[in-house]
Amino acid sequence: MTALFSWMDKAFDVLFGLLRALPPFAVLAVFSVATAVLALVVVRWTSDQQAIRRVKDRIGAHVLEVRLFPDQLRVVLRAYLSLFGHTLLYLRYSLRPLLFMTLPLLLLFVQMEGYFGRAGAPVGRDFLVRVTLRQADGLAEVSLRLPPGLTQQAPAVRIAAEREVDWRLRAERAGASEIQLSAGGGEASKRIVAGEEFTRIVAVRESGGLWTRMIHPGEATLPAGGAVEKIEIEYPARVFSLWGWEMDWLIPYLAVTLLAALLLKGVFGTEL
Amino acid sequence: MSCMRNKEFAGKRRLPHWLGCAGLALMLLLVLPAPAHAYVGPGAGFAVLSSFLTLLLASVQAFFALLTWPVRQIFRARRRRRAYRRARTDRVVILGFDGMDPELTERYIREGKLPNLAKLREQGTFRPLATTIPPISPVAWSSFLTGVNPGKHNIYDFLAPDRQRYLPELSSARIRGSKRVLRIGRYVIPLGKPSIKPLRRGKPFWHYLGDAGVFCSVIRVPITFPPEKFSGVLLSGMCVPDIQGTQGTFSYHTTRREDRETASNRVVVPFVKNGKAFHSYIPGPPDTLRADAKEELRAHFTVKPLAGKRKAQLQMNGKKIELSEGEYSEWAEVEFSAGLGVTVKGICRFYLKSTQPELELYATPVNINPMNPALPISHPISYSVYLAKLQGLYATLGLAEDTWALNDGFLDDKAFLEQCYLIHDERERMFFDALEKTRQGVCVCVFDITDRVQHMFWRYLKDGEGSNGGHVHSHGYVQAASAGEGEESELVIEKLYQRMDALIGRTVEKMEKDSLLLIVSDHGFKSFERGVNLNTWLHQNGYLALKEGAASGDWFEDVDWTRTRAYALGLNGIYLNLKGRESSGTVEPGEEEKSLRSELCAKLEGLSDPATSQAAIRRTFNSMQAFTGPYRENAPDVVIGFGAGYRASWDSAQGRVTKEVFEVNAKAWSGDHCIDPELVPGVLFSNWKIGGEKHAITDVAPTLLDLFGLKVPGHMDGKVWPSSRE
Repeated sequence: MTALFSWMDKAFDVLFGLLRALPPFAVLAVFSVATAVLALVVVRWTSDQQAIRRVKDRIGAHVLEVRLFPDQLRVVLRAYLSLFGHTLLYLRYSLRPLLFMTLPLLLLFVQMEGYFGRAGAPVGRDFLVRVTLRQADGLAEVSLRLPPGLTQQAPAVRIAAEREVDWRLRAERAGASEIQLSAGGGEASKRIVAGEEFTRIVAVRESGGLWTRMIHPGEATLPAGGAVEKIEIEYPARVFSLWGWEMDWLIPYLAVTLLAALLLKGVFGTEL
Repeated sequence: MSCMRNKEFAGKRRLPHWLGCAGLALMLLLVLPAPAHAYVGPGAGFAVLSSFLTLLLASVQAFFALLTWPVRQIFRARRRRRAYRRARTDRVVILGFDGMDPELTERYIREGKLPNLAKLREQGTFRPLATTIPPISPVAWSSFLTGVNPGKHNIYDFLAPDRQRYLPELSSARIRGSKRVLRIGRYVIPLGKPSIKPLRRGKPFWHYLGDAGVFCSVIRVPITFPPEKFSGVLLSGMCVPDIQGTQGTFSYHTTRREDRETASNRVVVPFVKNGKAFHSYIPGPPDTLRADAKEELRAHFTVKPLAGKRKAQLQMNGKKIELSEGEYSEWAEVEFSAGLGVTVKGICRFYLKSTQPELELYATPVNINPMNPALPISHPISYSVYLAKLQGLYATLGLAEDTWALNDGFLDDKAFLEQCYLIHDERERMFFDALEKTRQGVCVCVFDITDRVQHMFWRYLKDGEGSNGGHVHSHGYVQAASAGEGEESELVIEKLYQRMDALIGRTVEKMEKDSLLLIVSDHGFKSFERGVNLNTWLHQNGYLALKEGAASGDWFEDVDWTRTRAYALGLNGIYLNLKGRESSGTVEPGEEEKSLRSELCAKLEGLSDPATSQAAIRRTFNSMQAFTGPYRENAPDVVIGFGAGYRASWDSAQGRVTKEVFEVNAKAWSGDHCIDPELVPGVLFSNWKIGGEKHAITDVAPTLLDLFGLKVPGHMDGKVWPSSRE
């Protein structure tokens, strides 16, 4: 399974490499459309399309019923009840494709989060590196070695209660580099990206099983028996700006996906 | 792995494999830590967001509706109270059975076959209901809904003459394309909506009731196209056109022929073989978007016979329909692409007639799609959409039952009957929905099946059953077709009446005891055995002249109008070729006009059929005496009241002069009512006792207004029936 995750990491790196020339928003749009197509195909083949069409029609009918028979209180109340019932029924019919889509979309989203979720550490400004140890005993011995281009801005802060050591660093120039940690006689490393380049950014590296590996793609998990449990870089969130409105990538992604799905549903003959 | 293991040990009652795995994934997603939660939103977006939006909108709407409900209810309650304060009932239900015959009904009641109608007769009312002059559905139903004689509502037949061109046009509505167009190259782009002008005059009773706060649901009452705005809901009936703008043009696709054949009511299109499949197309409306268009818009499809199965697979718009021989498809959406991204959408049903030795496929006329109507067919427009969403697609064409297809031998009795009942089932569902929605007010629905089936199956009634008063003659079609037909055919009309009786039973069950139920028909029925060609009679008697040496064609082709004084068009009407009114008029208005009208009435009344020595024309009606009102001028100058067993011949109705005045009607269309109105009254049943005498269809509208405490407008010709619940 780990090999599969590594393969996926590479595949996405290649894919994003191909799209590197495009602005992030355009890359996001490409993924949105691809997701829409995937969803349309999955919904088309895994759901009871006729039943969905029927139940959507019934929902539409009950909405119209309220408008058409406003004087008939009993009719209106029954229409609302039916509307509620049919909406639940619609959800039921949507459950199967939803279940089919959950895993692939989860894998897709964690990969996308690596690219769209965070921006690189800002050059010339401080950022935090937070290391959590397995045992609080070794806090005093933890040391950090920085590559050229990164400088420590303040002495390490050790929080025994949290088993945590924090460093305030600053990137002098843009680019990717690796910091080295020594703790409990072992070594651990973490990739740090600085600057505006649109590349994969992994904020957390931690020890754990498959789930941990899956939700933090791009770097291998920390060794299970090592002294370091987790290394976290406090990257700023990548913000997408649309007409002065700043937002997380999920919002435009979801909006474009839904729009593309609506526009393409006729092409795929899918009832959504 | 765990999923696989589960599968190995899964018993029959276990969840399906996919559901287990997907369920597990979903549960993990929901239970596991924070980053995963962020992904639930978009992952479920398609399913949840739309549901959420629907729920949100519904909730907001419900919230505001409830918030403002007391205020609105106070206003409405005041209005309703006013409306119902003087009403003698809260609800009136009217079932219109087009063409239900009183004599047949009486007979079936006597034989114990119509228990619900028998009960109504016993506890309430059963009377013959006088129809209109002439007794034709569009005329009679127009009088039903307006309460006036044809001179005030302007409908005298299905067709009316265009006095400038001597050609027929639809009497009830005039549809014209947009007046302003933009020409770009070969494209002609309309810059406005087509105009649909109603030609029926007079205000329907539901307009008066609606204005007074009485809600009305009106389903498929004839001559309600285009739908007019009022306080209630309405679905238009008879005279709604098909997508081609005609009153019903079906298409027939066959490997039997090589050339296309076009007639007024059908297009026969040969299949073209393409590998193992056959290609054809459904003819659509004219291509008005292209100035150089040589053919109409077409919706292409292919049919692939399935070897050895007597089935075929039809493919259209990327959708596949599998049909067995003798089977109708569901409604299929038909799209005609006009270019520039414009598509015209309609619906039709297919009927696979045979796969061997020839492939033969019938397609109904392309109906306006109620879900996405190309023309307004309801008020409000959303009502047709609502019905389609609620019960699925349905026939919208005015004359939806394809009598021509049976008449011309493209459908057999069984296929026609099945089509009728498919349409009837849709109508029943609509009616019961309207009944449920109209707890207070008026619910009126007209069922056409009674008319269509009697027209086409009257030939199977045994001698005397048709109640022609002993005037039954041998019917050409009966002799040809009844051989080999079983008792089933004889029982078609009886079973139809029983079906209507059952419908009445179910309606009564859903009604409160004090509500009023009216069952009305617009006319009765008689046999149609012999046709009278009025144009031939006019020609033989010197009133209509043909061009020198010319034989007559359809629609007065080769008529010499400069020497013609009168012509017949439609089912009962003779028109004078009047100067100033007709483009080539020859008859002077005034004395000559009056005297010619009287002369024709006198000569035609009692016209005898030499083959039977019976009066083919029982009575004639002079329009100046038969009608009153502002539209009397548009009436046929003489209305013919044929005797039982007779009607205007097929050629006469289409303006063709033939050799003989009298001819045998050899078509399946064997029952009719376009005769002397005295011979074909309709029926009136009610669960209330209705007093008075000589009940007429024009009485319904004023009676309803009176029931709801409204003043009957002075222009209404009908009288109010005294009625009581007991």
